[in-house]
Amino acid sequence: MKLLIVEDELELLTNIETYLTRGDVVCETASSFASARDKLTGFSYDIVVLDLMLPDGDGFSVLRLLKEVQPETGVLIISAKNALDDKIKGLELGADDYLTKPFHLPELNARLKAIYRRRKFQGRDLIEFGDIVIQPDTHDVFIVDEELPLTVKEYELLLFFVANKGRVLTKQTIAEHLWGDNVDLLDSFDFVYQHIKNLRKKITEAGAPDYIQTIYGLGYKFTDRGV
Amino acid sequence: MRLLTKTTILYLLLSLIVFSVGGVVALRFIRSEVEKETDYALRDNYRDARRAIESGVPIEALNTRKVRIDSVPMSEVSDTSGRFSDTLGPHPFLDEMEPYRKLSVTKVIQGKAYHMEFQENFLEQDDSYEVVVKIMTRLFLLLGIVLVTAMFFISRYMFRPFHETLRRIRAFNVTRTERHPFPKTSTREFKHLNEFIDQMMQQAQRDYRALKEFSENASHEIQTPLAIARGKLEILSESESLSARQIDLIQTAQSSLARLSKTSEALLLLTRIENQALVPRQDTNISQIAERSLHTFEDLAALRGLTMTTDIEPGVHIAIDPALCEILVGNLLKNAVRHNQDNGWIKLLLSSQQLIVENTGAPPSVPTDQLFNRFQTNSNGSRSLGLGLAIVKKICDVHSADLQYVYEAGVHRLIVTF
Repeated sequence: MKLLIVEDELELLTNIETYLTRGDVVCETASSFASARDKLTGFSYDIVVLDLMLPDGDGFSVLRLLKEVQPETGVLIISAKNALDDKIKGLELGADDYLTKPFHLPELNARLKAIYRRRKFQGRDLIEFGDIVIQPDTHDVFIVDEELPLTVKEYELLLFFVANKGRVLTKQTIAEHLWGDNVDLLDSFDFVYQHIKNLRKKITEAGAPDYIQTIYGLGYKFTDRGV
Repeated sequence: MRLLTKTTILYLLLSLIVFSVGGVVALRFIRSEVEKETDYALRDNYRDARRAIESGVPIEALNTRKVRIDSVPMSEVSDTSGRFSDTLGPHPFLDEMEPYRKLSVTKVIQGKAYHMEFQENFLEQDDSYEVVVKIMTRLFLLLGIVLVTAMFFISRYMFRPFHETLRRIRAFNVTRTERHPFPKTSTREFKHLNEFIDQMMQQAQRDYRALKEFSENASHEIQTPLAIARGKLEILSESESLSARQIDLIQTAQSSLARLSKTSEALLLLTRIENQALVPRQDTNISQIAERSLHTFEDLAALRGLTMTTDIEPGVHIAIDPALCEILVGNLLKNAVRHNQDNGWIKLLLSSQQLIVENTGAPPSVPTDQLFNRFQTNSNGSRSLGLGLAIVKKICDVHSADLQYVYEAGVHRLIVTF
């Protein structure tokens, strides 16, 4: 997966680049409208991560230019403005998703994977992890050909885990992914624990190894190492 | 009371005092003038009588109803100067007494002594009083009529620019940028007033724009460093072989960052609602929003073992921005979930007039109306920011809806009346 990250805040740019660059993910960066334009006209990317506020131009102009020269490229907007208007405008101009700062890097990662899957395979490919097979278009999950009945939240949780396989996910990150703005409702993250316990139980009872590794005090990691 | 009515009444009251004092003074003047004239007349009568006696007219012929002349023995003559006095005498036709002015003189004329008394009708007290009161009352009435009429015209013509200024102030909206110049006026005070108000309005609009820009910028400026800090911690937590102590530090820092981010977002929302920037009224189906919100909270409520019951009248529309409506319903439900007890319940009732959210929970530790204040939280040590109900209250205020918080027998009830 080849990404272009357009963000004028250098530290944030480094964060995203450091976090995402792993395995088959290649990141290129641009910190201004001018350099973004140069890169977009010269090279092709799978997805562009676009900050709406740039020092020398409006992020929307980058979006328009991109839709002109590379219509098949996915776009994820990141913005500090939680303004609904911006969100709608961005999506109307052809952005695939919109993320408000400050976001969790695993959240960004999961969303990028989802865009990539939709763009490349129209969501029809299968996601495989160990014994688990996920069919994203029908939301079905199989463990060794056996269908695994999951609730909506459990399915979302599993998908989030698989998208961030091998990475540490804090309860906070998971909670925000599952409940969005209402996350501050959850007194402690016991609810996250509940969901994870249920998911873990369903997976292991279906005969697959326990992929959810608990990292004490920090969170969880979805991995098949050490199983 | 209108300014002019007030001035008129005050003016009339002052005139009443002036007229009363004037009446008393006039009465005095009239009395003393009449007394002086009467005394002159009496002296004239005396002089005539003296001349008549000197020319040999017998005193019997001189005696009339008003003149009495007696001859007296010389021995009784002691004081020859005249003496004026007031007396009462019978009215010639009416059966009543009336005031007279009397001049008594004892005089020696051509070697004979005479005692002479001259009487003259004197102005009756009541009469003079009545006359003065009558004059003063008429004058006062005339003044009153003239004054009221004048004020009516003054208020119509002279105060027209003032009323126009008032109308403009009332129509002033700080969120709009266009300027309406005030109409020209030749009255200096109004001119100053208009200039001053015009400056103030421009200043308010400038400040408002600055505030709005500041709010937007503050959001950007705060969220970006937060995003950076959060990202650094996430990258840090990816590293291998972290000690339990380090993990704990990362975790604490993360949750503080999350709290800061939520707080700044909520404060921004409050500011925006206050500035009414977000409030284009739309016809919004609140029933649909309530259903959707319930769906969002269903699973969170279930995790706490809460039972949710609803009675939503379908198709209720109110004039509110849909995003704000969602926040309103969402915050009420969030509040009901948060401040509930294990295995409690939540009830949501929506009719065309009211939205009621009821929930079980511990009694509030502060008076319920204080819970609408910012950063006022009920439960101790919860993750609550204390801004949820403040936002609800603000949305209600902006849309002139009524919000009530009632706690009764273990049930919290929040009532929004549209």
